[in-house]
Amino acid sequence: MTLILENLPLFWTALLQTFQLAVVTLLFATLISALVGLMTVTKRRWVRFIAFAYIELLRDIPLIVNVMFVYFGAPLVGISLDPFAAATISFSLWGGANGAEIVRSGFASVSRHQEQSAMALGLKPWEIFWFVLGPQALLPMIPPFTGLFSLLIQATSLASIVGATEFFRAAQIVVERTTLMTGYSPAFLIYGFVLLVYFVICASLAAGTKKLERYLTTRQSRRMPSAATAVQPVRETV
Amino acid sequence: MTAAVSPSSPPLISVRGLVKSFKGMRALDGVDADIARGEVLVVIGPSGSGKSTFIRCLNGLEMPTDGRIEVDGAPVQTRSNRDWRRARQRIGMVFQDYSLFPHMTVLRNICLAPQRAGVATAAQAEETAIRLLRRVGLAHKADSYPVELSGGQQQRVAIVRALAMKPDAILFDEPTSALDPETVGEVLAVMRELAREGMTMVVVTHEMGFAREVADRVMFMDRGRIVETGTPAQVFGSPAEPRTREFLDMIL
Repeated sequence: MTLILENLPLFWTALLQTFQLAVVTLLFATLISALVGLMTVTKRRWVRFIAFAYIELLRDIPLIVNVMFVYFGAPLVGISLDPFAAATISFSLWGGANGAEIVRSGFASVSRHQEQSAMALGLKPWEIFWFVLGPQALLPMIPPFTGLFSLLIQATSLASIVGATEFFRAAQIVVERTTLMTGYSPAFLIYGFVLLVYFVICASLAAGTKKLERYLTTRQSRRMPSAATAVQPVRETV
Repeated sequence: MTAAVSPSSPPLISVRGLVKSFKGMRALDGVDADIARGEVLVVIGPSGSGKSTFIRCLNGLEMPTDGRIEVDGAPVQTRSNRDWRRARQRIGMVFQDYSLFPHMTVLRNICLAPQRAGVATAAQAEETAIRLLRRVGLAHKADSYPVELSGGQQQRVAIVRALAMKPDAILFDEPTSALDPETVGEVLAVMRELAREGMTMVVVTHEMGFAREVADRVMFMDRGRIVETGTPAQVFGSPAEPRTREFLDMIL
């Protein structure tokens, strides 16, 4: 315990790095998800092709390889990235591909009849998208996006392999240093602490989105009101 | 029922040589039809006869492969989305599965299209919606969500939603086929009332009682073609074509 307290400043700055990495990654991943996801539901075939190619490519490469590739590949094309930037780019691209798939399936979950009935009312394509399809597609996206966000936060620990001093890397440093100095390894204690912190972060995220989901569900009234669905006496006053 | 059809006025919807192919299969094989203002045309026929495809072509939910469609004397460029959108604002449609928007209240379902199309302001749209809802006995459901309504109630709301656009005609694609038997009557009652008020209606249905009672003309389709058209008395009473007789014998 004292070991953790002694290294608190290091842990704290590293945790801030992790947060920064996570926030920027989630932001960009969401933007890419929305963009590429929408590309998959357009009518233009070549746009869809590009989107699907991107999704398939990124989802078929292990994230750890992806990080290494971006970090060590960037200098080859004349860009030098610091570990933080390389990790952000790599996580965002990966998260974007997985998020795009979630966006796509969100729209796929809306019945085709909804689009037709909106068309039959003479609504414009953007109106159909904005008022009818979009809102209905959003709700089923929330649980898988929560999962993806959680995964991305956990994935930030991979930034350590290219040398970014984020939370997990800080833990490694503490373990190595203590082992060298005292001759015994505090790995169990330190990694236990790390595990707990990641758990708390991701669990609160999950709890938060659960609340959001419940809020939206009641607003959209997917609630099945027991009284209201009961058969009502028909009042014929036509 | 009384066809206020004067032969001089041009048909509201006119169809010539309508063809619709799905992957080489001809769902519609050269259909000609005129629908006069105020007329109720009931389309009957076995499943797969092309009757649904026919009315879905009338508002461009299916793009015709060939043929001409005129609305109120003006040809619709069948490849033009803008032309179709305009036509759809004048020709409403009611679907078999109601297709209300589940994330909107009944009132919002009804008011969305008139507001977006600029047919009415928000206040006007709501006023119209409430008035129409009252007529179908559902004013108290204005703030409910579709899931809270029975099938018959949802379909009545769907009819009101189509009416709110103040359309020249309404297409009904098997409006009672998905309903519980006990709620079919309430929907047919609304449709009967609309017909009496002179709404132009094209109705695909298996409700022969409704066809006999409300239709000005009955059109029997089979294999993508119109086999015969006539008054209900002609078609049901003394069908000219053996195929029609065969079909009627089977279902009646």
